[in-house]
Amino acid sequence: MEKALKEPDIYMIVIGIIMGASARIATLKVDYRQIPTYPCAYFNSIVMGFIASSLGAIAIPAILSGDFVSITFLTVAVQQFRETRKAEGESLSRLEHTEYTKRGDAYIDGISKTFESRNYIAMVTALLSVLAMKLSDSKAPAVLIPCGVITGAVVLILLYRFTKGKTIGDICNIRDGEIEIKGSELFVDGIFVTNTLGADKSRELFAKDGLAVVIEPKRPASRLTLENYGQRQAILFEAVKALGVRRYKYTRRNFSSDTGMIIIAFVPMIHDKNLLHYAVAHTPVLENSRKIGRIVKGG
Amino acid sequence: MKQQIEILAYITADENRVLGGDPLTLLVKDPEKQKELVRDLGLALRANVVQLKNGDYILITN
Repeated sequence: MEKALKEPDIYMIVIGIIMGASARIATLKVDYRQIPTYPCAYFNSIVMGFIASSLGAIAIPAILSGDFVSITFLTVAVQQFRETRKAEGESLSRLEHTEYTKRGDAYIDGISKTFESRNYIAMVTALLSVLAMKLSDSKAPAVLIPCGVITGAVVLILLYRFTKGKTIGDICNIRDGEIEIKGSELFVDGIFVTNTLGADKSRELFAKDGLAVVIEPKRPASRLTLENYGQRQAILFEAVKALGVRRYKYTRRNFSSDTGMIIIAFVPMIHDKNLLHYAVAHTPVLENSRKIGRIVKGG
Repeated sequence: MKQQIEILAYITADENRVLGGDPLTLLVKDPEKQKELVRDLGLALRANVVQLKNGDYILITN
């Protein structure tokens, strides 16, 4: 039996692929901190998104033509996306020692999962675009194309909102910390941070160029998130990545505070308090540190 | 996993605190010489410097 695609099917598949690949490109631009920096790595992500959307786009026409084996391709895709997560995690872990400070395993895990989920976004966007076009029961391109594009755009927006987590700025208040040095001890807003400023030069450096922020949770439940070691490491990483670090970088929990707070202090290359606030506020809340208010009583 | 911190050197002005073994303990009585030594060793070993309340210095891993 001869199997040939009809013209409306070709429209549907092409539009599905375009919408899926567009979804991947759009999500590459949405979160500037979690995309690859180099063009070749950027290209890798787009090609992976293109493959994901191709698989999503052909699934519905294939099933409707009675080719139920095609559903197994989706499971192969899932396997590939898991490999993407694994590869991204390994790559970031290998590069840990080249960074100003470590991202930490918790942050790397979050970034890897984001890479994986964005391929699913591309695949689901393509799949639902094609499904909507099929349900429209029209063969006219003038109906099919707007139907697919609008559905794809709506699905992308919904999926992006669904998969987008909170940031530190959503759950915490961030303010400048006042640096004070007593002997070899560093205090921020009167809270002890470290006593490793034993050399005169280190004291001068911190007193002259040091920056510090105090981060306080807005709700008691957020304290558990904020004081998580992986979360603090991620905040420090983002702060240091945004401003660079000349020397010394510290995070410190304040055990004497009832409400909980952490301090980030370091000597940056770029002395910009606004950028520091921005970087800290936009650090994602990590999955392993996230606490859901309705489960954690007192939130 | 948090990084393990090691003491790389101990610099003191009191000979009673100079003990053999690890870490390296250096006796320097002149405070200015102590500061110079701490700075040089800190740079060479890429170490953090802590001045203890008794005036002695320890160099620890960064």
